[in-house]
Amino acid sequence: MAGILGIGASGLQAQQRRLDLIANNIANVDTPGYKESQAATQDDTYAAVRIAAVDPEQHAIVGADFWLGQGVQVAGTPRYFRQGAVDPTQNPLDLAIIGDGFFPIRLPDGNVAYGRDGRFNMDPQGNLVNASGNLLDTNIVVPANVTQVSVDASGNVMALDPTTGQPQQLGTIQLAQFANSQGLEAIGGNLFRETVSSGPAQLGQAGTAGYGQIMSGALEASNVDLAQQFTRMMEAQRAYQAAARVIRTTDDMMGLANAMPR
Amino acid sequence: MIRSVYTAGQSLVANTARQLRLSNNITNVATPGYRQDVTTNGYFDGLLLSAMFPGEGAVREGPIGVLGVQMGVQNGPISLEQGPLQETGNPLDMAIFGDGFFTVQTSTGLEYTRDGRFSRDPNGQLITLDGSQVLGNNGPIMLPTGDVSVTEQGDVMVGDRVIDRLQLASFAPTVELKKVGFNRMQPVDPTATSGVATPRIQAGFVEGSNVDLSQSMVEMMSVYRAYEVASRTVQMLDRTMSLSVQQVGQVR
Repeated sequence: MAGILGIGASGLQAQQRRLDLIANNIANVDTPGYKESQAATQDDTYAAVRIAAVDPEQHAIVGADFWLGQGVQVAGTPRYFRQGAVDPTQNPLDLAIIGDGFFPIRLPDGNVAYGRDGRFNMDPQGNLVNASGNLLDTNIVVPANVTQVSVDASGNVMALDPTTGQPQQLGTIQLAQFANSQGLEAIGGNLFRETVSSGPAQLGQAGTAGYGQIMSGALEASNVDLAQQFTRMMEAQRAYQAAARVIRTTDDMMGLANAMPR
Repeated sequence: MIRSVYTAGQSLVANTARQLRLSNNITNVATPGYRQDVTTNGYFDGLLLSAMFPGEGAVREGPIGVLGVQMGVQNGPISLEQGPLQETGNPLDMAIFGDGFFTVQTSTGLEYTRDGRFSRDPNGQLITLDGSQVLGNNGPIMLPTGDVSVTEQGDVMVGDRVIDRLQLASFAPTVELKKVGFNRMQPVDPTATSGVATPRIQAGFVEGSNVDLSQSMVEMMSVYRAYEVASRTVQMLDRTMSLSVQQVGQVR
């Protein structure tokens, strides 16, 4: 009977994990470029135990397989990269990706991470940096004297040269794409790292096949749907309670068994 | 009287087994694609007691009568009732509305599932949560880059191009299925063949667990009470035996 306690405990653990990730989603409902993640549960393995059964033809007791499940497990924590809503801002360096793709960001340790949070600005040296001050992987420097910095749908960063009055191209923001973006590993700071299961990053120009367009003066909102998260939270809470009820009832049954020899 | 202790004891064992089944159902009440296990009570009602009679030349065996002895449990059919469809908005989530299973290639052969939370692996293959290949009519489904959509008939399209049709399997009601974990099932008899199912596929949805929580809770209460009755019966029989051993035939 102790096995049933284990089944109940697997339910508590799985639902706890779901609630953890739901809480994280809800906390990030206002984080630009945030992508929802979920703890995906599946049933655990099954084992056959031999039990006595009646063979109706032979009128005899025979052995039979009785299949017993072992509870529930968290099979993975996939992240869903559905498009978030696009909110306009006044800042031309706020960039939203409409469609697939990630901004490649160079981390201080030299590695490249990928994210969809498009809150860019200029550091004192004129480099384009993200909200946490990290450079784009192909660094773009905005000279001090130019005005009207803008980014077009293909990721070309343009500015007006005040001496000539002509627009000049400062560089191009490339986008990264993955065969399986669900396989990316979140490293915090709204950024992801490529893994074996995501496949290597493929860089390409925004607006070409497989890559989304860049929209300047807009931010992609979190793709968390608050109503959906609350519904899931209620479901997970009830499932947690049900698992707790299993444990309690089983404990009561064990109490009865203990009370038998008196 | 000793026999009745075993009868009551068997009821304890059987109700423990039912409780094991129920707990697995209840902990999977929120597991997409999970199918409820059903336990049926088998009553061992048909046991014939026989006796040996001395006959002419040989010992003859003859029936005394029927004795109802023990309670047992049996695998019921896995409940294939439709689960509720839940919208997720993820293009690679698929739900089956109607009969049928997705066919999955695993290391141990073909397995069948109603859990349609799929994704794309680095090579572009459509895979399940644990990385097994989802099969189409032409084998594993390879998705080139692009926007994936799935029609109600199960045609997987990338852009306007049909890549393959999901291999949707059905089994005759006589084929007994067993679960293998990861929300998958297999026929108990490996030679059993599957037919082609024609359910409606809903992309962007997952099918929830078909566990009926209120029914399971009620069943758990009844299991608990049946267990309680059996344990009381054991205690009562023990006291009765104690009387017969210690008091009947006592010489004062």
